[in-house]
Amino acid sequence: MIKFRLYIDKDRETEWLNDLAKQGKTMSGFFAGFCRFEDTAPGLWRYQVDFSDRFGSVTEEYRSLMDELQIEIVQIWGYWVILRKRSADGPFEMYTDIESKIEHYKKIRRLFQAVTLIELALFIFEMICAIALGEPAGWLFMMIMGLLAITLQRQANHTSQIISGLMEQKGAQNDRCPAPEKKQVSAILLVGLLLNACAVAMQPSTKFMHSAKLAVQIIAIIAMFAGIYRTRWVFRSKK
Amino acid sequence: MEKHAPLTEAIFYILLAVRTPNHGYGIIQDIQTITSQRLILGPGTLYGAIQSLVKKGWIQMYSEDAHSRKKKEYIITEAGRNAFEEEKMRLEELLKNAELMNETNV
Repeated sequence: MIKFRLYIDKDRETEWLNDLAKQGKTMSGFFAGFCRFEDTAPGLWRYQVDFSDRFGSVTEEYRSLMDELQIEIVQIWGYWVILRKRSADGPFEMYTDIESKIEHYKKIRRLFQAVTLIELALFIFEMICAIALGEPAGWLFMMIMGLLAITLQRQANHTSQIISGLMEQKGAQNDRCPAPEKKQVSAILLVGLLLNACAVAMQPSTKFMHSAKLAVQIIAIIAMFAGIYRTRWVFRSKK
Repeated sequence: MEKHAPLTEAIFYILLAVRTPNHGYGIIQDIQTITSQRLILGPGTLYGAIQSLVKKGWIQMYSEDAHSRKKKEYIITEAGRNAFEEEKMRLEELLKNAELMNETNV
């Protein structure tokens, strides 16, 4: 059986895989959202999704440790590692203390933040193309990239919430945690203002430059609004 | 001696478990035994801790088993022993001071 399902939230994916495993549907492979399932005895395996330090592979140490603990690496997909262990061999939790959970989610958040930036860059590129060429497909791609960027940013925020929840549990909601977030917020606003200045300075001498100027202006406005919105959000969540 | 932040429970017990050469499964088993099944380390937690301890130079690879090339053993280093000793002194101070609580009970 093959099922198509793309998850952006690894905790929900883990839940889904374990629910199906309980019904005797065992995941045995993954490619670009297509999951291959095999019929086994219900509840034979337990699944976990981990995050690797490397793209598309795991270290030799990681592999040998999992091997030793009788954990099978089912699939590595980008930074994601799908693992399983026989239920008979006991409970299966990857991270058993708050410190390592925080570390784990911080790595995940870094990925989402990086990919959000890439999507934003593509969004800008598509927008310039769309304006320059007047191609309806360009606008479509632009919207797709924009939606992707928003989705990823929301997931990064969701991960941040998990991290602050863990921090609170640890009783260490002191210095380091909120500070970078505040910086990030003011950065968006600053980027908006800078882009706006760039747009004003741009000479619309050619058709391409004219389109680029328009694109930069639109982005600057979005960034400024986003910056203002995010700043308010921090004030609200602080209280 | 260099000042360190208090060790996490996982780090404390991993250092203890590699006082003699020990491998992944053995570390988990030993910790489980000496804490009477209270502390069972997850594979992700153990892997992350080993990586950071090796990076700090508190533990090192002891040998790669010649027969099953997969099993990796670790052993504590001098720096690791110092860090552990420092933590032990901190914990002893905590316990000693904890006695003060009893004085108010009289």
